[in-house]
Amino acid sequence: MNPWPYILGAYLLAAAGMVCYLVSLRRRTKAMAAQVAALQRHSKEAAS
Amino acid sequence: MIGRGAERVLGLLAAFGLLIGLYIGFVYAPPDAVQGEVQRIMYLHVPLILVSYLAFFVVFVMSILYLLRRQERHDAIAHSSAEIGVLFTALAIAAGSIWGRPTWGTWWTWDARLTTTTILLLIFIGYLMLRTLVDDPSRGATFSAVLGIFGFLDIPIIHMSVVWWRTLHQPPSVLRPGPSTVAPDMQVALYTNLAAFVVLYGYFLVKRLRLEEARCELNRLRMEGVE
Repeated sequence: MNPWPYILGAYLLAAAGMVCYLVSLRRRTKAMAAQVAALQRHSKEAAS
Repeated sequence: MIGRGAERVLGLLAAFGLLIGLYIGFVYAPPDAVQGEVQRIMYLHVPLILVSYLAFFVVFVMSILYLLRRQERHDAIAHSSAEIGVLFTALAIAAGSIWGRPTWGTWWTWDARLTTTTILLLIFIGYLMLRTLVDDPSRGATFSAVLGIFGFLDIPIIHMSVVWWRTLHQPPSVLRPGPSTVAPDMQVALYTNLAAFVVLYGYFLVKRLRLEEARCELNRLRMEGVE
C-alpha cells in the first residue's frame, strides 16, 4: 500500500483546517470591530 | 494583552517552527521499522492532541479562576482556549483516522482511546454551544466554566484508557513513566513539532482574544444603551 496519499492527506487536511480557522478569526474580529466602531460613531453623533 | 508587533513575531515563529518541524519530520527522521513511511503522521497527530490537552488545561484553570473571582478576562481566555482545543482535537482525530486506515485496516473503530477522545470533542463542542444558548453572558460563562472543569476530567481517562482497557491504539509512548519508547531521532522530530504547535496555539490564542476584546467592548456599549 502506497503510504504517501495518507501522509499528504493528513498534513493537507490539518493545514487547511488551520488556515480556515485563521481566516474565520480574522473575519469575525473585523466584523466585531466594525460593529464597535459603528456604535461608537452613533454615540458620538447622539451626544453632539 | 500583547501588542500587534509581538503577535506578528509569534505568528512568524509558529510558521518557522512548523516549517522546521516538517523538514525534520520528513527528511531528518528515519521511517519506522514496522510501519514504514506512514508513521510520519505521528509528527502531526501527537502534537495536535497534546496541544489540545494543553488548551483544555487552560480552560480548566481559567474556569476555576472565573468561578472564584468572576473576572471577565478569565472567562475570555477559557472561551478562546476551548475553541482552539476543539479545532486541534478534531484535526487530531482526523489525522489519527487517516493513520488508522493503512496501519489498522480501518478508518474508525470504537476503541476506548478513540471513543473517549470523541467524547472530549463533543463535551467542548457543547461548551461552545452552551454560550450561545444562554441569553445572560455572565450566567452562560458560569455554566460553561462548570462544564469546562468537568470536561477536562475526561483527559486523564483518555490517557489511561490504553492502560485500563484492551485497545487497538498503542500504549502511551510520550507521557509515560520511565524512558520514552520513541527512537532518539524520532523524538527530535516529535518534540520540534510539539514546540511549533505550542507556539501556534499561543498565536491562535492571542488572535482569538482580540475577538473577545471586541466582543466585550460591544457588550459594554450595548449595556450603556448605545444602539
